[in-house]
Amino acid sequence: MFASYEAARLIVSEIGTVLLWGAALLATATAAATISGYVPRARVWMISGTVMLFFLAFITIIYFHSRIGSLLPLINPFDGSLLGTYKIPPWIESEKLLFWSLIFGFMALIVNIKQRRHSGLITGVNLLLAAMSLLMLFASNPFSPPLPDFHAEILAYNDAVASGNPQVMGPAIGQTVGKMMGYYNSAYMWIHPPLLFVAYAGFGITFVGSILMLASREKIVDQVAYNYGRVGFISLTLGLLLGYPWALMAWEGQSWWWDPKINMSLMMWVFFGAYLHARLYRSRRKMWKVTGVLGAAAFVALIATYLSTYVIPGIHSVAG
Amino acid sequence: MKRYDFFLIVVTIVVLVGIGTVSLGGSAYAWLATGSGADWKATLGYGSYVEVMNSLSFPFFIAIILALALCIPKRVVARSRLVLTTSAVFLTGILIGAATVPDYGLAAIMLFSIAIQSAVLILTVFGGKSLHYRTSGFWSQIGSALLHLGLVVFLFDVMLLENDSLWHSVAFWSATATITIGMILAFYDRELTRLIKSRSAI
Repeated sequence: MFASYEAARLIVSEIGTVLLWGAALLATATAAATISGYVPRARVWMISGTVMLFFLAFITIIYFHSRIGSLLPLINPFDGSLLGTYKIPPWIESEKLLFWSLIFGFMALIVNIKQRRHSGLITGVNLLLAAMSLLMLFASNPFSPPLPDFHAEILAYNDAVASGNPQVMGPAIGQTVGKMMGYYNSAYMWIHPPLLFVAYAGFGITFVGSILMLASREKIVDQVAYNYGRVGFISLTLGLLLGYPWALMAWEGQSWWWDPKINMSLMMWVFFGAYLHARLYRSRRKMWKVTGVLGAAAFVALIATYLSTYVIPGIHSVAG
Repeated sequence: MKRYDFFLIVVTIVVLVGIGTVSLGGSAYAWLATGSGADWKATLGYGSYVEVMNSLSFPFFIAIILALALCIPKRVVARSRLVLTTSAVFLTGILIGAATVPDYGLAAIMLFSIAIQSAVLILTVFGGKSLHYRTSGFWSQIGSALLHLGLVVFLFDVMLLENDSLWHSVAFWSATATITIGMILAFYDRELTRLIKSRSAI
């Protein structure tokens, strides 16, 4: 069964990378076409194509995870009983950037269709989509290789079982089953991250709108920024709230409140809260620009929060 | 009242940005501290870091509770009595805290805020004429009242109920539901009103 898993991993890696290359090339071509003003009618089809390629890549991940579920059951080496099967959500490790890009792609498509006369908005949104697809391809490719950390854990577990030493096998079983139940298969893992990535996608549009607010005083720009900002804020708030009971449960007895990632998440939330408060008085003198600055700063805080997972060591981090 | 509302919004923004800045500073410090290579969390330095973060953030959290306390009664109490009401609430909290333990003082302030906000919510639902809101939509007013109530309940839960599993669950899930429904009503007032009107026209 492990050989079948490795074969599936190889196929998924190849198919997924081809799909991501296609999406990145198409998104880059769309951004270039938007800036140059060429093929305005084909633009929506090009964005649709990018979203479709992201979607197919996402389906590929779902397929891979379903294969993991069926090919890698955790068997107790002492008595042969089933310890559990993996039900891994499709936004683990680098896959989260693909899910974020997919949702942002859908939102970018809607902006391209509904705001087709506003070249500034469309250019900004399409540039951001191209940047995300290139970043994913070259810096955070979920298919190159698929789930490297999970794979390393499985290899370590297999090595422990192969050793035949009960003193090595016992802790390995405890650790692997614990991570399966508390992390990969946790109900919170199916709710907390996707809500955050839906929020991140919405705030991408808010960022573009906020930058344009600093350049000109157009109502439509503020309205589009707000429309996606409110979706983002609801999703972010609910996502963060649902992370709280999970944190209490998963990190019981550990100090986590001032962990760097938690700090950054709090910072991101308060900045978006400040943006929404400032927007209430956007018609007052200077408040238009304050709203724009806060909307842009909040997105910078969001990027810093996302990157902190990979850069700053902590309880909610993969760094160090 | 409009000028006063604007002042409160500016104060809220400043406090929120202040919390964000403290959080960013904490993360930057943690980054530098963990870069030394040692298991930082196991050192005495980590304990000092938590203490410093608690003391730096505490004034901002008190300020946000104060801003909520100022925002909340402004809807039921005339502006001239506003400062008096808020001062009375905080003074009572400080006295209770000084006479017993600080947590009880904090609990008194927050429970008072919860009671007032619940009253505001009931008055909003039944169309109380003394209420003043920045927005004019019915659903956004209810949403705003729910959102404020939920935030106070959530802060109450985080600050005081973490170790009480039953009351923590009750407070947390009530706050989550209240905040979520509040946000949806506050942000989608126009759409909701349009939907209800089109339904009633049919």
